[in-house]
Amino acid sequence: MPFSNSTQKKPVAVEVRDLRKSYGDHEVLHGVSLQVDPGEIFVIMGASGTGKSVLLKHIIGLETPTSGEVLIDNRSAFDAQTHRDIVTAIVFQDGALFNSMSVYDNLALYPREHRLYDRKTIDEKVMQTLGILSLENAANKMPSELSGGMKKRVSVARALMMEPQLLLYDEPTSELDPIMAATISELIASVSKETGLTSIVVSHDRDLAMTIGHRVALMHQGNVIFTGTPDELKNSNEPIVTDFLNPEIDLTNPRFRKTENGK
Amino acid sequence: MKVITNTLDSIGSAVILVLRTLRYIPSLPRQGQRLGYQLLFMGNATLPLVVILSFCIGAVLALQTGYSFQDLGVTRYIGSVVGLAMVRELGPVMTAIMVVGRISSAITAELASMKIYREVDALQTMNIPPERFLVLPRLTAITLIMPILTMASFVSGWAGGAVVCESVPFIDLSYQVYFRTLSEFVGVDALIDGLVKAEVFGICVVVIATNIGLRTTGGPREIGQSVTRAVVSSIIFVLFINYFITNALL
Repeated sequence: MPFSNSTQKKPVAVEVRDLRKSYGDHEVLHGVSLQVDPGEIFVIMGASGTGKSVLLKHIIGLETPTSGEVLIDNRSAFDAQTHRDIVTAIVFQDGALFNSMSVYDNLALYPREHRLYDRKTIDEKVMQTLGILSLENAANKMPSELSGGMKKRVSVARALMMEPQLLLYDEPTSELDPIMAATISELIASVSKETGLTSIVVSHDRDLAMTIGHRVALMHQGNVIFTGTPDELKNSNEPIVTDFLNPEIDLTNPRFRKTENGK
Repeated sequence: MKVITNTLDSIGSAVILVLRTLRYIPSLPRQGQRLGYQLLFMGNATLPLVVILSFCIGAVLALQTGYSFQDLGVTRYIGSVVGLAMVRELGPVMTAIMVVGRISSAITAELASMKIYREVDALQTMNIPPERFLVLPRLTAITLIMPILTMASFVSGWAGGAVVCESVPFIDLSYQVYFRTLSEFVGVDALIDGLVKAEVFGICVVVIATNIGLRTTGGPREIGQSVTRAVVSSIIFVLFINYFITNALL
């Protein structure tokens, strides 16, 4: 059964312009700029602590920058009205499911609160979405009863219930086994293809980036150092890119010793 | 200096939280289920404790007053002392303390946990304001339940005093005499003053609890710290503001 976007809203472009963010004296984003086209799957990769998740929080409007701007369909992402007019959703790394609600209620919350449909239609849509993600049997379970993979899928399902024009994924395949990671990657690609929404995926998962990403950006120490197609990324000779994609495990000269010695 | 800055910061954020929450009052009719849940939770959590505690306090108050009054031969006025003390002071304050212990700690723990585990962020990204979804039902519930809890405190405190007056030999005061003097001195004005005081306490305590909960950052340890801060701040606030409300109502 295909994913549907019954409201038929158009996908949106996202533009990040010279975005800087500091926490106290520590600058996390050093002037990040990138452009995401409508309907594409844009994967942001990079080592831990390079500011990927912070960038995602700026796009969804949960953080305000020190300077710079983020435009969604040429409207500021820091204006709450933008997120009311353009449906943006995020799949949090840890799911951020509402622990006091059942899986069913987690999915039904958005359409109920925004009075999108009548009760019967909401019920049908929730069960349909759960069915697509093979979660029908989890409808009455509480989030604490779910496995890590199920939580991720419920989180994706909850985001899909919003019928978003822009869907952000924060580390959707982290902490998952390879099969479940592949399933989630297939899910992201299918959702994007069948609904036409714009997807921005923050991930360490090279397989995900190379397989389903239309374009990939690589972040390093708060900067975007590469943007291109997966093939261009694979063929890049940039040392940081090649080191990130094919890190050698060198037992004779381990990285942590280099760090210890300040080299 | 930092303490003063932090206190002013907390007061400012609490005022902003209340103002933001009030904007969503028109959405109340749609929040019946959540409001009902909060009413049940607050009532179930607090009513039995308030009744037991107030009964004991009323009993002890009658015992102490009776012991002092027996030498003066005015034990028939015990009803007025217990009645007025419960209505004007002990009922509202003890109910507020029970609300702090049972409700405000639970609210802070729940909201702080939701904040730490990104559930509040998730609500915001779904365009569901936390003030409407989380704060308004709790604030409305405490506004509705506080008069009921306080009345229960009054009645059980009076009952505690009555049982002691009837059963303790050196007081030996009948229910009829006890309640006659009580009703002579406790008028509607005193009852309203007590209920108003309790209402103010209840609302302030829930505002403090929700504000501290929603401002929690960090990890699980900070949830515990927030609960402690909410309980301590609420008790100090209740005892501090009690003087000024009493002064204003006299």
